[in-house]
Amino acid sequence: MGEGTGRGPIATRDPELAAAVERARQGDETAFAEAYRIVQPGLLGYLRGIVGDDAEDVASEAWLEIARDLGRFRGDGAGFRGWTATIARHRAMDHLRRVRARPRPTGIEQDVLELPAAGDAAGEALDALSTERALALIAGLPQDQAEAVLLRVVVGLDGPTAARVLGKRPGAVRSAAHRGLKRLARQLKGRGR
Amino acid sequence: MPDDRLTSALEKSLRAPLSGSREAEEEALVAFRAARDAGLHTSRAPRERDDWTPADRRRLPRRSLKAAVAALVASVTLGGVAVATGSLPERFLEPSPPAPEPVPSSSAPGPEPVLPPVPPPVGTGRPGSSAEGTPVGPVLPDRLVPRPPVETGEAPCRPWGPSEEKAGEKALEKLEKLRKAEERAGGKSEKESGDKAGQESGAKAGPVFCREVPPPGSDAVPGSASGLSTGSSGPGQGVGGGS
Repeated sequence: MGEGTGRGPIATRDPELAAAVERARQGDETAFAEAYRIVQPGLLGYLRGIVGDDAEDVASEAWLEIARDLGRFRGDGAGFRGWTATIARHRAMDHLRRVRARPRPTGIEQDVLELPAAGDAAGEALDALSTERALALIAGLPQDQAEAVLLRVVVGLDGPTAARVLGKRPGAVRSAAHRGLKRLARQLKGRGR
Repeated sequence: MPDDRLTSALEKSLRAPLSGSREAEEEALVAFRAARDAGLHTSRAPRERDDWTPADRRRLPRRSLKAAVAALVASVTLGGVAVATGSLPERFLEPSPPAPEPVPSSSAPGPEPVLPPVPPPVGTGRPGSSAEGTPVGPVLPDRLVPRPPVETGEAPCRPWGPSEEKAGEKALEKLEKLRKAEERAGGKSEKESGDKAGQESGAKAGPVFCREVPPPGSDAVPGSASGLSTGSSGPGQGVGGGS
């Protein structure tokens, strides 16, 4: 992962997202739907990584709050992704408090973790990386690393924005993401051999 | 394994199939409509946590807003203080005139046969004092014996009555002139001029007021201005106290 995760393909849609959010704040329903479609995949991926199968329910709760508080939001496209991720994270933490347990990989996911990679090359392992396997790998990380990786890779936030979402220093988040990715790479390599 | 390949693989595998259901989108739209129609998008003030404008753009205006509010509060506060102290300089002006100077006990021996400690100090003995203060002589003793605070001595004669304001200002000017003259004259004449000033102030500033304001019956004697101060404390205080 480069340092510029926030400037990756996800971020390329930020101007479009910013414009949609601005129109939505003026009451344009179509614009809100557009913003939803841009943001939702990353949000859902992030939530899948921390609450597992309950991600859709938690995302729905988050969107209720996003829809309600949209008038209060100030910022651009990247800011909107950070703001929505913060809301989603709060809902996820509430959910986890209710559930009292961090989602454990399901049996299937464990199996996926144990599966040998399709080929020996790490590249092939990556190409064949399924959603289930990726989620299982993320779930095997310590929570701070998992969240840092998800926010930076899946939601597409840059370091400072991810740090604000997590309420940590940017350096700590950068370091956690780096360690998490190293670990994932090691696991994938191991599977590849 | 290059990080970029890993991140793009994670991104692809985690984002693509997770766009959510159509029902979830519809639910979000319903919530949006409800909030918009309830006016929530316009009526609710943004909070700190809703401000995601880039840090470099965010900080400046916020500081300036805070500064503006602080300046407003400070100006209101200082303005209040200024208004509250607005009347003080006038009070300070009054006691400063030389009237207090003659008080020093060194000049006490000079004056008249002491009307012993009888004259009640200051303005406490309201009723009796006006009666006993009337004698012409007591002008000085009155001032000297109890070492009356100037304030009480002058308060009754302070020309702050609604109609005496001009007269009061004149008197103050004269007192000020006298005080300066004293300063110029130097140390020796200080007591004398102080006395004079006291007398003059009594004769000019005091009477202007005292003749008009208090009931003339009790303190009619013009020269006894300062003496009247205690003597007239009855009626005078009513006025002075009121100011």
